Amino acid sequence: MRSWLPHARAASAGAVAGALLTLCAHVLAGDRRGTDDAARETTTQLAPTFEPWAQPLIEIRDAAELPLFVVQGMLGGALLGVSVAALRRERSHAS
Amino acid sequence: MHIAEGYLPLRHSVGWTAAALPFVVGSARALSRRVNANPADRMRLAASGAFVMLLSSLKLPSLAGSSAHPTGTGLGSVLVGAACMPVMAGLVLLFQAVVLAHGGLTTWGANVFSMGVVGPWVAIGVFRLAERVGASPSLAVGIAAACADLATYACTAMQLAWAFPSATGVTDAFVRFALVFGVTQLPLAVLEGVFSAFVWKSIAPLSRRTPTLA
Repeated sequence: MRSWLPHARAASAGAVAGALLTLCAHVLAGDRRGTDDAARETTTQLAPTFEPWAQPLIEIRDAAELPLFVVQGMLGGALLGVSVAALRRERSHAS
Repeated sequence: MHIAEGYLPLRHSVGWTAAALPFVVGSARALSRRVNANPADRMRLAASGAFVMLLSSLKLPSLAGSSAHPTGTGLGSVLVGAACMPVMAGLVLLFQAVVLAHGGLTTWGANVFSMGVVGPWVAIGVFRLAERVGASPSLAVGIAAACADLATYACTAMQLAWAFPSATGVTDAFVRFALVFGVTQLPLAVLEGVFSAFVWKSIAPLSRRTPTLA
């Protein structure tokens, strides 16, 4: 078997699991307001004259937020899949 | 939990970045030493970083009609040590600031300090304490992860209260910010604890060495 194939399989499985997990969490959360927004609101109440002095590098539209978080979940899931699979192989070789 | 871009006064941003940088540099050195001394540790380190990446991408619903993200740093702290976590949290926060416009570059230092320094060290302390009072390793990991999550948010509340004290002072502002986070975060911390314990149970038997808490 090609040596990269198990890594690719583990990465794919992890990526799919990560994407599904992120997607399900976001669907369950729905339109609920994030605590970051609530904290910004409290900041405004405490310091009404304060204006943020920097803006994010890029503007993310609401519709793009979910796919980007899913990408992050996929990356995390893929890396987790590869590392857990490698630990498993290492363990089985050791025993 | 991330403080948004530009939402800390300039001197606070600079101060928190200066406070977080030594931990990040020390963490990078600790990682390098660890991998050089024992290349087999690479996969445990990767799993810890991946867990932070995965968990911080989850937007979880909570009570009071709000939502928040777990941190994932508690499990990594127990698996590879708190000293290795600032660089992992720093990379995830950098990714989120640049790609997702979540958090920010000007607040990166403050966010790294709460998520990559305070959370992980609280996790280690709680893990040791829980083991000492006889908790099973998985229960200890779960409690440590939940406490790390709560400590991260408590630190964020403190950072914001310090920057934006109310008319009666920092304590009153801290209570207000802590209430904003606390209502949402308490059940999510429990959830993160359960999830971390579950993943730890899957990963721990695969490691030939016992968890390192350095």
